[in-house]
Amino acid sequence: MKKILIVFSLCAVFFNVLHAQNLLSKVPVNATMVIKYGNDNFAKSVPVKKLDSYKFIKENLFNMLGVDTLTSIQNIGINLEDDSYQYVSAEDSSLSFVTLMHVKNATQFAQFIKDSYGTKNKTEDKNGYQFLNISNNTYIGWNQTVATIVNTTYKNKESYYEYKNRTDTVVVATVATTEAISDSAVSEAAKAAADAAAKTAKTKVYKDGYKAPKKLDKGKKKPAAKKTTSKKVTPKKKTTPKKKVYDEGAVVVEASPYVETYEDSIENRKRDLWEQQQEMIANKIQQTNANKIIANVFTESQNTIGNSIGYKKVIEPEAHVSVWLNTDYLISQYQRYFTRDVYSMIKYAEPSLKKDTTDGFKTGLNIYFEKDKIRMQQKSFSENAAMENLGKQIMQSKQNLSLTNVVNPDNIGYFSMSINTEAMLNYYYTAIKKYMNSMSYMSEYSDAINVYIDLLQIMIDEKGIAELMPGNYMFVLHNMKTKMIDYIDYTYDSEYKSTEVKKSKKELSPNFTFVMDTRRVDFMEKLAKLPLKYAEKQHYNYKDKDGYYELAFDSTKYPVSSLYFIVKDGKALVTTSKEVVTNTITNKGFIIDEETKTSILNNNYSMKIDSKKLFEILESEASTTANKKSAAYMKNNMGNIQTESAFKDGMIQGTTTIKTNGTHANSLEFIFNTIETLNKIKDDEQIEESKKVD
Amino acid sequence: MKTTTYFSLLFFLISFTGCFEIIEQATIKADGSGNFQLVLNCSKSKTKLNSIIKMKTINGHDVPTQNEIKSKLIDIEKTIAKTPGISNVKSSIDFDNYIATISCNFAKPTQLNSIVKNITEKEKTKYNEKSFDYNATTNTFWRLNKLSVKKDYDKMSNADKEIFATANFTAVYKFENTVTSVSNKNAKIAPSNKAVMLQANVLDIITEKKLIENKITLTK
Repeated sequence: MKKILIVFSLCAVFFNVLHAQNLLSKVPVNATMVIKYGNDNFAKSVPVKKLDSYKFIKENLFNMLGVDTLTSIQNIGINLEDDSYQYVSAEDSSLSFVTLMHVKNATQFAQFIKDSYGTKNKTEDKNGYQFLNISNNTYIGWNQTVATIVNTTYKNKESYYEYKNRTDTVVVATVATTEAISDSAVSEAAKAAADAAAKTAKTKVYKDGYKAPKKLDKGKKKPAAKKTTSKKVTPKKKTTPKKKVYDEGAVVVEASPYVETYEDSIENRKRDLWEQQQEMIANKIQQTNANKIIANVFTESQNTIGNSIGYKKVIEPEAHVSVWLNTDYLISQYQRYFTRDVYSMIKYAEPSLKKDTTDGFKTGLNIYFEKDKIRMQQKSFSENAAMENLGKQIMQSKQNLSLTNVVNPDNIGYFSMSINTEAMLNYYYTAIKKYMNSMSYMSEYSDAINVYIDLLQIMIDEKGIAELMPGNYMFVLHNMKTKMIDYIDYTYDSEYKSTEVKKSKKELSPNFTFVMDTRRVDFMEKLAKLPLKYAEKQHYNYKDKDGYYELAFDSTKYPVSSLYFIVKDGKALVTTSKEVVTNTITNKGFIIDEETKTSILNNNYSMKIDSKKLFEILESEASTTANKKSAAYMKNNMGNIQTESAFKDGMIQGTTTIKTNGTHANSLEFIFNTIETLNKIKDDEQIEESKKVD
Repeated sequence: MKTTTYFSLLFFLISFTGCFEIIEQATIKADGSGNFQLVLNCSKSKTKLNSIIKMKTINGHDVPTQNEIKSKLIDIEKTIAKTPGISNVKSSIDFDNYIATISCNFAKPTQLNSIVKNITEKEKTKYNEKSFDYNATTNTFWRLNKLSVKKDYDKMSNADKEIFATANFTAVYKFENTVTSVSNKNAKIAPSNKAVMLQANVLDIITEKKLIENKITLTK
């Protein structure tokens, strides 16, 4: 959380006014995420001088940027009152995070860069701009008006284990070269790096015939391989373990000494060399990529994302901060992250998806920092009429009034969802087809995939599923009570002999209800009754309580004592609340306030969290003093969180508000004050801890 | 089972508990032989574990079943039993309170290093460091800790880091001979001078604020 807040604050430092050159024209059309730090409202909310006064900006942010704490952010040469952008681009198997800012004073900026990052790497004069390599993956380019920072990471690295599994024939340089060359867009850079790596490998030859890796340049990041020395390796003579006879007569063998074996040594060197070559290739590709991105900013007129309808439709120019996402692309990237591994995230990159600017959903999040609340407007839109219609159909649903009966007035939070299940299922078929066809190794078989998915659609009865679960759901967290739980601990006497003792502690017990509507009461009743038959055999306590079912738990083992299941009047409920059970059986319900009722019934999604109650609970449960203080601060300064979402103006639109309390000038200042305070609480705790140690 | 299974087990037993204690107890006779016991007490988090064990996965990690945990423990017990110089290996796990115990007798304290070596070799993990040493000539016992997990810890998410904030480590070493000195300033010597105790927060050990390394010198 802290990291997110720091990154946010890093971004928030760079804000804008409207009169300046529009840096949006420098954001390419194939960006997958764009963040804009918008207009002078931002500067009005938290003036630059105020920003300069925050300790965390000086210590955390400046430290992250490599800037000394004496520097004022007013004197770094960046025009902090002009708009700035950040975007993510995925090209040539590299993921790049690019920052675009206005320069106020190029000399001051150059000096700031020099002071912060030293003079080791020489600034290069390029075609109309200066270029500086800060590290292997960070590059800066600037001229008199614009500065750009590119942080790029080559993602097509192969892991050593993957490589080892593939082949035991170690011709490292050859393999590395082949791998790199297969990446077409960067083949030249990769080839050069691989050649260099191969050359390096020839520089030192040991008596055992093994070629040692050349040491990396100072400042270069060392590969995460096991350390080895460059000393001559003498194969160790293998000795037979000595056998000894101990008092009890048992024959034992001495433990083997912890000495690196000859085979280990060779293996480690192979791995070192392989890792270094991979790193050299990656660095070269990263540099080529950063060069290309920076050159485009200064020398080419880009096909900008600002001209696309998908951007203009969902981004509100007056927002203080706006975030634009190519949702489909990000979803597929997210799926790939979990289904493969992090390095393969964009391995089978998606030339098809990243260049796709018309299909699929584009999402815009427009953030406003108002006096007493943060307001976030979310919009999802597709230029494709069919997709837009699918979105509309999914949201063509209205919450069932009877589900609001379970929302108690003093709840901690609730979440209401009302969607058209049948339309949602139909959307899945389209989404799966799009996703499958976007995979480079699948696109060749797209016709066959489409036929299979059509067949799946024929076999699945969407109407039947929609009968069972029409799409209205409600979750309510009624309250959180504490209960006593026993546990085992150990105590020690003066001679440190341990004794097992039973202790008890308070633990939170959530009291919640989940309810959904159904038109297949007969099926849901069968489902609720089913466990009765197997309860005894499976050793669980499930009983028919005449109108509802109870699954009882051992209260010393579980946070909840019972779960109740009821199917009645077209509703299926699971709850821990006996009150809800009684209400449902007697056809009663909680009386809900009009505002909440309207929010639930007029929106497809409605959510509310009572922050004060939630933080009160967290405060009581916090294990450390610092966490207790943090929870107490949040309880007093953060207000309720509320979300509403519906289909409006041809788009899925939602609003989330986070209210703020306390003495903050506005909600943006609330964020900065909160980071500052939470950091201070943590720092104070560390100081206290170090005093104890001393 | 593969390393991932070990990781899943460890992750399950430690990462989701939020509060756990590791207790290391060793009794060392004058000839260097003795008994070793390792206890992982997750009893304070048993309600969470009772809920988690009913899931198949959590946060992308597989949750092992009770049978898988039992089977893994037996597997570890067998590996330990095969270690030369190690005898009387016993293991137990109490799923009511989530307390796992493993104990064994050893002929020399250094044979405990072989246990770690055998397990790590079998599972092909990288951690294979010397933890115990004993010099019969000088009557000196060493608890070592060359394993540095600070970097691994730094890579963890804040939520995962929080788990270690309330976790504790207790080490108790008992001797037939009298203890004359301990090198670790946080270690306490029993009034009889026959036992040494060291307690520390796991987070402090990980972040290297507190050391568990200790050189215990005994009378000859």
